[in-house]
Amino acid sequence: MRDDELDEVIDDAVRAVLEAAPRPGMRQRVLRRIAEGEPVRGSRRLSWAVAVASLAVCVVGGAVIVERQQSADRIAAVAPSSSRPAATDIALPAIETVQAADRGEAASAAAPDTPARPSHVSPATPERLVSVTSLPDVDDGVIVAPLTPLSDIHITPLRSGRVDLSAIEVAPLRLDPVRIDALPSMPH
Amino acid sequence: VTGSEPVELSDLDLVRLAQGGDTNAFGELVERNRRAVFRAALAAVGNAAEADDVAQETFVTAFRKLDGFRAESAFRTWLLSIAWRKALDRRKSMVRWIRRHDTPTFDDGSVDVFERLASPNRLQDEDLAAADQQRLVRRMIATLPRKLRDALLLAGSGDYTYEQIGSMLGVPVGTVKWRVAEARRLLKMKLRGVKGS
Repeated sequence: MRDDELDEVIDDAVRAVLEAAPRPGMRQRVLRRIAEGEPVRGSRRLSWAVAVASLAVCVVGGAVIVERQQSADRIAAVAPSSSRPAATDIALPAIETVQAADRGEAASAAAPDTPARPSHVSPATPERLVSVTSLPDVDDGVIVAPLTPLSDIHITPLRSGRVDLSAIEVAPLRLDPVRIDALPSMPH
Repeated sequence: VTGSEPVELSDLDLVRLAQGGDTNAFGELVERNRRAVFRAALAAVGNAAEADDVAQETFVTAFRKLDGFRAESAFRTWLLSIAWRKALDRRKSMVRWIRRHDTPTFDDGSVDVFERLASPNRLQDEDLAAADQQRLVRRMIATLPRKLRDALLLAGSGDYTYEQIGSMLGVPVGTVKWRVAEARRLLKMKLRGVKGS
């Protein structure tokens, strides 16, 4: 088959693919839909997508906020007590030395009012230092205090006496005469 | 707007009227462009009923976005861009549907959307040999890579300029021309192979 004949066959096939016509009444159908205010098919799907995406953002955002809150609580719980406000009824983490002595029972090294997490202590050890950090629950109302403000920093210019230029003497360096002795190993 | 008027309003005039709320003016725009929009959709989805639906969606969407039309391009070009995007969305959902229902595919794994969805009784009055040949070519067109097939069909329709096709496809005019030429080259190569065997 010649090239132009192939072109003709292709053109015929393309025309055949596209030979259909739109249904009559397109104008009326479009205007009716516009008058009815019917939503576009795609926009409904888009609305769902937006709703689902919003929900996902809320869930993730909530999880991040809770996680940050818990992290802050943990930081507040292990922070030195000096950085806390003076007047507070916060349950501080308990750190105390426990004399287990001969009782042979597990020590519960918690502050009286604070339910501490159980710490495992071996009864065989006669004396030991048990440090238990109690992480209060979120419901305990831990307040995170601001950092103690730094004291004021005063900056003053450096003081220096006046330099009297006339008192400075400029002279060439004086060198002592150089004497060169022969090395002992050298033949005379 | 009607034939009794001495001067026919341009598309832009009608757009201005429609932007002011004149739905009859927009109706005239629908009348003028329905065929071009329909055929663009048909080139993408390969099925008349689907293309008709896409065309309708296109006009409704265009009316709602009409305030955003700034006349930086011709109204028809703007409209065809909307139509093409909608047609591609429809094509994707059709392909998904076909795959979900386990429709057979060609050897290269592509789905014959055109062959599956096109009207089956179109060839009844044609000479059998010619019909077979055309059917064969249509099948070959359906198996072309989509980018090549889209360019070939849009250019072959004769309804659009290369600039309009480039705007629809989002590629430069040179790329459109290359795709059309490449599609033709592949089809000819396949046809020669069939004739030679």
